Amino acid sequence: MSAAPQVTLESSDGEKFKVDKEVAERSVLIKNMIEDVGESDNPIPLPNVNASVLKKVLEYCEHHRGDPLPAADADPSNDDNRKRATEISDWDQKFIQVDQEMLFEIILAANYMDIKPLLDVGCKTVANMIKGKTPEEIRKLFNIVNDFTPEEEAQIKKENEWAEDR
Amino acid sequence: MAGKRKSKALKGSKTADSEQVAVATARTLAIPELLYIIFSFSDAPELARSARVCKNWSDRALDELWRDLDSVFPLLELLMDSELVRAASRDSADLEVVSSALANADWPRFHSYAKRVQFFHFDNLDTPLLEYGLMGSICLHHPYGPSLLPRLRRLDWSTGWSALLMIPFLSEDSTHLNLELYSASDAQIKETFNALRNRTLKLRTFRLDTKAFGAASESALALWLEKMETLEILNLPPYYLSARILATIRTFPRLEIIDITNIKSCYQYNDAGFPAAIPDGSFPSLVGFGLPVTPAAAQHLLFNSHTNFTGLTALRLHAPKDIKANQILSFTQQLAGHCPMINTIDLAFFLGPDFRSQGAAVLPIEILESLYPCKNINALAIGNPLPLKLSPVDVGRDNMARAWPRIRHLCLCSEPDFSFYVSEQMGNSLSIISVFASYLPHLLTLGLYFNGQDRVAFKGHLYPRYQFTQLLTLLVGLSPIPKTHTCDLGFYLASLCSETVGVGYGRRTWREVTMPSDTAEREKAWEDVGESMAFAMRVKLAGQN
Repeated sequence: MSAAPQVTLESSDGEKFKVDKEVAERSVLIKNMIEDVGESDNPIPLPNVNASVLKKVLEYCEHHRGDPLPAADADPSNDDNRKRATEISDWDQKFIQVDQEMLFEIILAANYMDIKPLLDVGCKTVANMIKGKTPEEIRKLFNIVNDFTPEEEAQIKKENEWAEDR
Repeated sequence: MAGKRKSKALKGSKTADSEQVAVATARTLAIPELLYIIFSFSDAPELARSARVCKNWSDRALDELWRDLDSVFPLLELLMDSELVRAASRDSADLEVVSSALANADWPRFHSYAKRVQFFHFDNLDTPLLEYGLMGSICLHHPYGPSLLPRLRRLDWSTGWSALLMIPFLSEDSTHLNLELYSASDAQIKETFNALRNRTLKLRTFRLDTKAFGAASESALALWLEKMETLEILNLPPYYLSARILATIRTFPRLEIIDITNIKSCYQYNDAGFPAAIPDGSFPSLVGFGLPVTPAAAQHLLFNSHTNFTGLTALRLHAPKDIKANQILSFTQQLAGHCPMINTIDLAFFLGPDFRSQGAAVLPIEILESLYPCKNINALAIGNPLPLKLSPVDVGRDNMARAWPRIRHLCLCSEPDFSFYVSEQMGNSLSIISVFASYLPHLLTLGLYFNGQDRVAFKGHLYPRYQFTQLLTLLVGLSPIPKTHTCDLGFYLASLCSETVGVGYGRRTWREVTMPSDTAEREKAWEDVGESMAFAMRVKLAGQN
């Protein structure tokens, strides 16, 4: 169809995806692999990502193929404005409306494949899920075991009460 | 990364959906880096609640919550009960009671929170009256060395209390210190810097804003500065940039920016106290300099040595006092020769009455021409609303457009000042905007003062041959325009732009500025222009799609 260079990615369960190189290179991991190995027809294996997740991730990369690449990590001592925007664009919002299993699979894949904007979208979504919930509700939501004694929990509550009604 | 290792073990496992949820969730939430990212998008109440979910979450959430504090209450409440803190903040607590509370306080607990704090903003809001008795007791009982916040990197102190009270909060590793001491006296500032001596030896940025000035504080500041060789950015009130302090900081190897103009407490300035000359080899790393001095004084300071200041890329001169146009010209001529790398120039002066009175000559175009050798110019601002009148030839391919291929911001009306009469005819013709569009289409900001009697006719088509590709702001220095002309002008501007442009009036930061009596009328007229431009732009963009 197009003359754009393409690469083949192989998911953990052996499915192959042929995509434009520009799309695949939204992943810094893949970009570096291509740079290291040079271009070849061999599929690039992604042993940590299964086909259904990879399909989803590539859908994101395809939609954002033209976006400017995020800057390399800035000097951490300059992160004075650490509070970051929590808005998610409409398209991303729709894209990330998946069941919880898939949401976390996408986050893990974005982390493994080093796709910072997608990782941020996933983490913002989790942050939004936590919003307004009590600790008990959060534990239930994510299946987390409470390893605090009631006294320990009460002490943390007391020490951080100032932040709760901000 | 932890995620990689764990995922190998899980690879290919075929489990039921509900368990899968737990697996992916648990895997994600066990990776500290990912928890940090999630919490970086959470607000304070969420962080406080997340801290109670489980031990693993607690640590990360509290790191995020306590990193940036803007009140001292949370810290004090770790040491004594909130009743006592409130009493102390009203100065109605018995110091004996406070002292015994501090003796019995859970200091390890306090430390576990205090070591998370990296940024601390103190201002008068929402913070108790700290006073020597209370701070003294805290320091006395604190078992973890001299710094209450051992990892503090940045301290903003903007309070009416004595600045001495901030010292226990500073750490050895603090790199940023911002002091706004508006009500401090000369003696108090002296005390502060005497107490600070040999502390904060890793400081990278320092800002002091105060109205106090005297020999005592200058001398204490100079002594303290002697050890601050790691400084990169320095902001001081102008009167502290004395010969002595310049002599101290001139050898600092990393000092990149000195800005004396972004200090709120001072717009008055005189050139007295400036050193006759600075030795060669001074300020080896300096790229940005902001000074509230006259061009004559700046000339003296900057160009006396052939080696100093040759690497400057940004220069700002603000002189709120009467000066003459030929001083500006003499300065810009030398600047072009002395600082070939310069890319940002911001000059704002009050012109003397002889240049601003009725019928006075316009500012000479030679001022701009003298800067044509500066090929790197990206931003150039000259104000007040200089009746600097440009002809199409000045803008055209043999002049500005060729001289400054990288220019993105050009503002020749940056500080509207109407203290003197500005004749309506002094400004630029509105049609000069289209000349800019054709020769300098990449401008992001254009600022000009316009002739109040000029007209442009909108010729009925929104797609002329030339247009700006990315113009965002048009500064007009509150030029007068007739009410009846706003619609035509809006359409004219829309035809020259690729998106709706914001109309601004200039900075208006000088305190001395007198606004014209018809200010509101002028603002309203330009708002109308903005509205009609926005309308025309919608029509234009709809037509393009």
